Amino acid sequence: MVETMSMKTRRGLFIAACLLPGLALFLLFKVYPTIQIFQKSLYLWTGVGDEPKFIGLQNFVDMFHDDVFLLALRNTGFLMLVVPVLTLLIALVNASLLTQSKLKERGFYRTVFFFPSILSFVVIAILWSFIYHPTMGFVNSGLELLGLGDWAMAWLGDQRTVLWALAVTLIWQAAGYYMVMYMAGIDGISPDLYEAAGLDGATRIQQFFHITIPMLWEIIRVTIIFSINGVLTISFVIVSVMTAGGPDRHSEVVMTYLYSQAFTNSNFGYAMAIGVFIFIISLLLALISNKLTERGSH
Amino acid sequence: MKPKKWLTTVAASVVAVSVLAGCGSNNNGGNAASPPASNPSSPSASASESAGGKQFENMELNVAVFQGGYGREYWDTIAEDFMKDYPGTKINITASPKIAELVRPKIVAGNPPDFMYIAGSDNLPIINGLIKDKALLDLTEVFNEPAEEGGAPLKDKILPGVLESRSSSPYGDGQVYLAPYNFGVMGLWYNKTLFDEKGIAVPKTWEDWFALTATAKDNGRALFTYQGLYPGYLEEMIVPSIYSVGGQEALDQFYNLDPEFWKSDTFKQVWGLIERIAKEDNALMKGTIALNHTQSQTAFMQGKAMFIPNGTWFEDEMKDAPREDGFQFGFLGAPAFTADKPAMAMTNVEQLVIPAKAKNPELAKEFLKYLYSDKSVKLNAEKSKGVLAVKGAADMSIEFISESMYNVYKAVDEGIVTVNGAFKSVAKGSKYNPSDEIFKPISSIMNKQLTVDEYGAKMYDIFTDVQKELEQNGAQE
Amino acid sequence: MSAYSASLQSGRKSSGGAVGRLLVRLFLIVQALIVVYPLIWNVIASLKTNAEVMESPWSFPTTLNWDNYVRAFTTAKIGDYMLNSVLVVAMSMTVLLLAAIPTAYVLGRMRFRGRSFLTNFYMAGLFIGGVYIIVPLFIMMNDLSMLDNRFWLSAVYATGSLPFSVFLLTGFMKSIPHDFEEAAMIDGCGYFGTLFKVIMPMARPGIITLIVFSFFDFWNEYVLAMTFITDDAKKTIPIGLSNLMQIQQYATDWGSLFAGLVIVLVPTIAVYALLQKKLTEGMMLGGVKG
Repeated sequence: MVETMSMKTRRGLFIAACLLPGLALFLLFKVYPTIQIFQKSLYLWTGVGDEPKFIGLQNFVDMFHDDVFLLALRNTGFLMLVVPVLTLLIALVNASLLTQSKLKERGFYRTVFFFPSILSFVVIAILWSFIYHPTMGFVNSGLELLGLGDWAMAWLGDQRTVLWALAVTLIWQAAGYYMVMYMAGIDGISPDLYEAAGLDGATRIQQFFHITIPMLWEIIRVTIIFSINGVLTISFVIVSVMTAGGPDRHSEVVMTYLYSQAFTNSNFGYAMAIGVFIFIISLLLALISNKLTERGSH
Repeated sequence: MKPKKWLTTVAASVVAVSVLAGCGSNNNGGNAASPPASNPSSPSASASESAGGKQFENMELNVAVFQGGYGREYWDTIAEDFMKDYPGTKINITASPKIAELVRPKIVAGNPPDFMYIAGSDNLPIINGLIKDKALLDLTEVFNEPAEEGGAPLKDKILPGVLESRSSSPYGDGQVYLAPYNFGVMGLWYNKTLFDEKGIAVPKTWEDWFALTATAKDNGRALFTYQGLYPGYLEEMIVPSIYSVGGQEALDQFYNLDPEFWKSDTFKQVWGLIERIAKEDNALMKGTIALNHTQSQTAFMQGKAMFIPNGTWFEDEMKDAPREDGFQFGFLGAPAFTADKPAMAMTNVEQLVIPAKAKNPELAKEFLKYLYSDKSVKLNAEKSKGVLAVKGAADMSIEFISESMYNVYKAVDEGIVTVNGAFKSVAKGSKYNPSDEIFKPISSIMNKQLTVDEYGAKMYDIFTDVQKELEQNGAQE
Repeated sequence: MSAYSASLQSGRKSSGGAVGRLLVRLFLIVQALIVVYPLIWNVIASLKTNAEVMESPWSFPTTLNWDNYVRAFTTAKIGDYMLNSVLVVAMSMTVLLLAAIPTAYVLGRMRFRGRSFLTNFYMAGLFIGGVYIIVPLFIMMNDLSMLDNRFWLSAVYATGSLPFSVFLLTGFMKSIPHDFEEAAMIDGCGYFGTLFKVIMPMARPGIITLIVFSFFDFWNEYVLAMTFITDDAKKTIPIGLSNLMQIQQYATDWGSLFAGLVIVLVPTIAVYALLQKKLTEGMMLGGVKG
């Protein structure tokens, strides 16, 4: 061989060259900051030209005595529970309706329902803050048109309704996305199964529970995790545009609180402790939901 | 295998874009306006040219300004004028609506601008941070020096009370760290045309004010609305009322984060107003709590509510907004508690600062002084429609500002009692933000989901904790 | 739901199918209206005067105020923001593809020490959302003078999409038969030649899926852009829009706000219309293979 490099070295260099750009980015913009939140969460650090001071786990102790944080956590928990459950349920029902009923216009519905999931969250938040507008909003003036004017209320201004109102917006945004995922999954289920079940006298509802859901189970598991994580991110934008955390912090979520502690109150160390907490919680949730949805007989 | 044509196209465009990306990274590295190195013609090296009779080591000044409702034109023009009057100096202006985020990294890096005008609720925390960290230059001397050669000291030109207030003298030791710039007046507004046509008297006391709920109903509107998503606007009624009931003493208690304030009679009376607004029929416009600032202000201008709190920027902010026929801005300030007391208004003075680590503090001080000249006051009114916190500024600015603004400023000149203040800093690392803690729960009072007593108890606990933190923090340092 | 169960029960007999089908249709139409109405309202509102916007949501504009669109470009500078967004999307996409394709290729098709470790390493990244590391990211970028810079924002975007992209593409790469590569190597294509000339065309559906998904992520991103870009001249469209809505004491102009929203929708709708099929196919690949 007259080559200056052996085959093996060339192969090694190629592998390195291919991995390098991705690894560099990943280490710099993901791994390093992640290490940082764990490390700096142990410091008292108030930004602006401040020297971080080690305080051990004090930030975490403070967190559980911080009423606003606890309220934000509760609100986030509510959204992380209600939104994925309803979103995925609606998505499943729509998906099986569209695939099973064999309507001519199913493509149309698929296109329309999917659309909100590609819109900018900011656009969605602005639109919905006008939909909920107490006097000229679609919801209240719609109620009035139906003669239900008494039901009209300031949906975003009342602590009893604000989280539900935000949840509806989040569901509106995401249901179509998961529906399309499920439709793809259902298309992959052999029609023979349904046919056989039909011959056995199973109703469509029984088929839904005994064929569709079990066959889609793996996809459903993935989408639960996607959806929970989605709520964490999207709620930040939706809340900051639509309610500014109001009324009286009843729509504050952990992300908006983290952000305001970091960038308004300059409590960088504390904000990172909140970051660590959210990180661990979402990891745990993913593991738990994975465990819960695991089935031995598969 | 031959590559498909599609692929070559993509590969080519990837290369093209990545070249573009490279350019982007080079051109955009750093902030366009800031690095001193980008001015090879900068005269900073050739130091000691005469400028206004003074010598400056360093002739270059980096100025960071908030670009909000007032725009940046004033700053560009005044900088040019200054450079003409002080030949050889060079002023670089960086302006942005989120100026704090722009200067924060430089401050952290120990390389702050020489002079900063910081305003807007998004940006003010950085000023609080600088105050907390004692990172501002003491400006007392500037105000003790004569405004002009041999004249009275500069401080005599400034509106009375401003330099003494906490917004200028944050540590309460009489030393000035924040110089006043534009001064805004805030309080309740009404539709002047409606009041004139219907012969409604402008209410002098809160009792008169609440009596108008019936009049409001006759005119198809509610008594009151406010910027529901941002209950902080309510300070424009609350702060003057605290002063009206309890005087400066109570106001100091409030701003000094004293927990006892929340057990005082002043507190009960003032927050009693809020509860009354919440409870009385037709007092609070339906849906208010869910509205943001522009939505509620429009509702007011469309005649859906009789009063709204806001500041002197109101007319400019809403110039494109719809309104009821004949709508005219009328300013009331805040009614008094009893007929023998004067009407009041809250003022807000914007702040100019020089960081302690500024590279060129001497020239920055000279620039600051220059801003209080009559020429500058007029220019400011012309270009930014703002009124500087100097005596007689309203009349100097008359030709440039809206009628509603002039009337408000004139009323201040003629004796509406004005109050202002700023919260004492909380302890380092504290999770509390006094303004948020106090104003956000007011939404719940307005929703009738929290009583004033419960609210007061909650505030007492919070501010007891705040004080405890301050003590511990003091012990730490 | 009741319509659904009704349809399910009646669906079995073809005679009852007509009623069931009607109910299903009704159910779907109501939902479609709920989805579409806000968007239609937005388009209508964008042609109203400021006064008309604040009236009933059902009314139509008396005249069509195209002027709102003019102001959206002139006063509200939507055009500038859009240009920034295009630039950021293009840069992010480039960085992402340059990083993700070679990584996925190597992880999917070559055997070497540390491969499974690296694969798991990237998989773990799926759980680290961009938002909770925003504070250290901000501080680090500040230290490295990367703030207020569209390229570095793009690099952060690309990194955010990297774990999922590697995950998606690795699957594709694995499914390509090894014969092709061997043939290419024998033909004298080097490693890079094989990757670019043989593998990339084969993995095309995966790459397209990736591009389509990432486009929407990059185009719509809000939190990171709001935090890392401060210069008004460099802001992307979501930030420009939220400023119109949120910043206090600025001139209030709903007409141009809604016109701005429509202007942002146009590219989104265009990309969606063009790539709808790819997108939904891609979802199947992404989802089912997961």
